Amino acid sequence: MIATEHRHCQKNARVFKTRVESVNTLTDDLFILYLSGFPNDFDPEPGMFLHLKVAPDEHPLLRRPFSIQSYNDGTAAILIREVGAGSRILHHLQPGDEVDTLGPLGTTFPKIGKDDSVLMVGGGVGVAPLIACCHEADAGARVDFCFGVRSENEVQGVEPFMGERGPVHIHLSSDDGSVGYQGFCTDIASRLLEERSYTKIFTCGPWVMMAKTARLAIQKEIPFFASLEVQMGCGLGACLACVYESTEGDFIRSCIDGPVVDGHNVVWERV
Amino acid sequence: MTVDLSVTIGNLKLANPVMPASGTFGYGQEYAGLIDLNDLGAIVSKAVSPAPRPGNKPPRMVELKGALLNSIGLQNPGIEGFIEKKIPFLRQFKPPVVVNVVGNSIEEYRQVVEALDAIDRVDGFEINLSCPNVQKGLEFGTTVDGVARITRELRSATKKDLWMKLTPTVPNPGDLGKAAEGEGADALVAINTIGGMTIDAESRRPVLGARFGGVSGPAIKAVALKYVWLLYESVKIPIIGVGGIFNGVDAMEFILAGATAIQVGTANFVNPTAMPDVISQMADWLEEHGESTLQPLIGEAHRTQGAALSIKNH
Repeated sequence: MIATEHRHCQKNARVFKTRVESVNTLTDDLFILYLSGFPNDFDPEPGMFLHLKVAPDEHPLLRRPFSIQSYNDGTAAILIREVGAGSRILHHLQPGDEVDTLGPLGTTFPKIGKDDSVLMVGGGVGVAPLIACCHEADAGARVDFCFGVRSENEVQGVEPFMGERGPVHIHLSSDDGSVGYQGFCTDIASRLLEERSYTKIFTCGPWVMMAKTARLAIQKEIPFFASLEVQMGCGLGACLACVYESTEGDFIRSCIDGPVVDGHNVVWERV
Repeated sequence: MTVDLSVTIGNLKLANPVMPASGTFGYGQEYAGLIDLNDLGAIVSKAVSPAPRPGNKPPRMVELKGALLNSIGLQNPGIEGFIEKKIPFLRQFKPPVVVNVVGNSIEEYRQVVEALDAIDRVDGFEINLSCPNVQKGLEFGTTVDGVARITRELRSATKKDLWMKLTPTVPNPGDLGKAAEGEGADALVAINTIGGMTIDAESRRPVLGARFGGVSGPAIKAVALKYVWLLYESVKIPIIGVGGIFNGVDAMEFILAGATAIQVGTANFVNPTAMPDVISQMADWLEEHGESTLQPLIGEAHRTQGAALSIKNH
């Protein structure tokens, strides 16, 4: 389900304990947390997220929301950048540690069908939900994934798509030029939009990157879906803290009306 | 031994003393998939103002050490939206529904109370005299005359239960409580969030879109307890304690300070099952301490002598 229709509750959301399988450190501040022990009927769709309580006491206080990058054989992969107290605690979890988990939460990206040609623009930890979409893409579809990283050692999760066959084509870019094109992933997206026509654009990542992608989508009048990254309170739609301004003059709650929203409904230009 | 957690607030019989703090629980719908609303002592709604309010510009919430700072700005669907969209949902449940009321003038408060007085599912009103996100609310709430005037005005508008939610930022809570009691309030609710702000040194700007907000969470529990304590010394009507309650022991501290019931706020964001958890933890506490009802424990700390013998829960 996609935003604008305001939802009343997070269907199928529950609180349960997951268990840390492993923590895979990619760089000084980027890591993948592998969690297992989900309920048997746990079945997240691409774009959905988990709201993790990072410590058993009230320090830090709020849960932290993270998109699910993959869910295979009962194990979820969560891509996390260490930016503060909460993510630092998660980085230092040990295999076997329990994590109080709320989920699955939020809206999903549209399914990628055989007639779809999708341009994806993802940067930093924002690549995670887009990777989830790639795994679900119909074999007959075409996906061009502009995948932005700071440097080569941040590239992960794309190995299954690196061959010539299959619907997904990865276009790497890096800040330091250590892998792929040196520069912004939106530069590649802009070039691809001149070369091909797309039925949809998906984006997730830093605000500036998504706002640039939004300009491209608006200019080309292409259906556009963005996963919003924001600090959240309850994750259930009750506290009204995680809102974005919509073009209709109201507010979109990123936890329940999103995180995946119709990007054409978001006010991207910030004062 | 089974324990009885039931309490009476004004005309309302509550199966237990636990309810949400307004604004942390929406109108119940968002939590209905995770907890059974019938387990609660009462359902306190998010604020209702005469007309819809869009709320404040984001960012609206930031986490502090042991606390939250929020400036949601009382976003709500207004009287009509509440009646059309929220009341039908609330009809499914048994616990009393208390509507939190907010306005920019006494007339606006009166409008909400009069409009909802006719709705049978509404059992009472919690008058928000103290939201730091509404300037006028603080004006009514900080003086004895202001509290007396608005209580008198609203008392004449409804026979349903009237709870006055007081601001913590006054030196004389007992006087404000007496003013509300003297004009016919059925209960006092204390405390609301405490006004505050935070600044991002890097960008040299306030973090919140509205600059100022209200501080809630574990860090304000001590402030709330003292306030409840002072009210208990001043009034006879029931006090509903709120501020940083995260578990059954926190709740019992408020009961011992003089609260008859308690509200859970910030904890709902951290743990969606916080309220049912607090209810069962309170029952456990009573059982472990050989008590069967709450009544004799209300204000008990006023009747004991000296300081605590242990501080193991702190």
